[in-house]
Amino acid sequence: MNELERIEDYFSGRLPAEERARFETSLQTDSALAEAVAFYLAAQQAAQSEARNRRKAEFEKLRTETPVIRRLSALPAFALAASILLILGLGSYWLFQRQSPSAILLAEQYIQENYSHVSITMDGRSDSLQTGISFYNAGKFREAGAVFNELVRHQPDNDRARQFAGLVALRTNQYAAAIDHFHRLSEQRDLFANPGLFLEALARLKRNQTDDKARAEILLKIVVNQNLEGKAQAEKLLEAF
Amino acid sequence: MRFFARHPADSDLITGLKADGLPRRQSEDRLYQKYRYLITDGVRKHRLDEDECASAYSDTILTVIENVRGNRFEGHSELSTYIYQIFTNKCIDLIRKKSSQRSQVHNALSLDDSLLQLPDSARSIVQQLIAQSDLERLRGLIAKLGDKCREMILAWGEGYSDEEIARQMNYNTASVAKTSRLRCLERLRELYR
Repeated sequence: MNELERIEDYFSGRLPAEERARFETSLQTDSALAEAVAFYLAAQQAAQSEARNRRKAEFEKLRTETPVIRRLSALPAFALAASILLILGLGSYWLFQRQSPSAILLAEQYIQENYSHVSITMDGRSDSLQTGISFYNAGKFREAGAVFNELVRHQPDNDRARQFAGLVALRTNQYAAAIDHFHRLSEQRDLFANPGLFLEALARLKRNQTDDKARAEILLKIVVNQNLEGKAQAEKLLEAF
Repeated sequence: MRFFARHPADSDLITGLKADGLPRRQSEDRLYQKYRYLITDGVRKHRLDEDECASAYSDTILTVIENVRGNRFEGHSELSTYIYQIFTNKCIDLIRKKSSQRSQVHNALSLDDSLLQLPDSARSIVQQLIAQSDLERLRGLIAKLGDKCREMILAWGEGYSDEEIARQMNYNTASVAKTSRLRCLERLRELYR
């Protein structure tokens, strides 16, 4: 077996345990092996990047050579959606004073059902995070809050820690802190799925101070309109306004 | 009428993306076509020019393909939502890049998964060595390999299995394809030295 094959077998998990351990030990003392591993990974990255560029050029060709197939009349659909939102927005502005508490009850119910217990396996980015989640699930909110807040202090961009810090605040009725955490979460732009706005809306519904319901409603509409995380539930909550 | 032509369902596209060979390639093209309207939406919403949006959109689709194949898209959201969010983020990155006049090295592909397999002490050594590697030069050298070698290395880069490479390039078995591919990699290494 040549060197590159052994390296490839290591990274694809095909080396038997004993040989794998031997490989890892050699790697710390054998500089030539370390260089070969670095070459293998760098070459793989270069190949991925080169293949990606080539595929991108093929997509570009596809774009210039074929006509775009639009969704069913997207512009009228957009105009209709915008009109509906406008009507809902204007109508609900003076209606919200008379609203039944059903949206608030729904929000409470949703928090109970979905955030009373979270799966530890849903995120394993750091041990502290998992420790915090264990405390959270055990209802030890003070301890969980300390862990998450410490994490957020050191890693302000840690979205999961931020989300959990907000959830702890929400579950312990510290609404201002919860809203602040969720709002900051919603401002993170590099996430594939960001529940920040939706959670901020839930926190506002739960706090229910002067303009909280109106602001929650606006946030929920943004969630629906921009197809953000929590859209399905946001639609249900909006129906209850 | 093309205007009302039907697109394949997302579930079918996801199945196709996880396949190999022609079905994968066709699904990639169909996925690209299905959400292509985002380019025009991007032009309107983000005030970017069409070519910039098209490039961000191609990057989005390639990222989605990588994530679907790497099982990092778990279906917690609709595929359309997922694509929309990645595309929006890429457009925002583009706007930031333009406004700060800084050119950012595009490094969408992460080494993390591979590096994480290494024990801590070895990882830092390898990381330092990779940091010293000249990726641009490596890419240039891949282009200089002979046709067959280049195709094999790029197919490897795209995540094709040796079985699929053997099928596409008429090798008798996956094992023969693997040996040839590693030989090409060895040649690349000699050129790189």
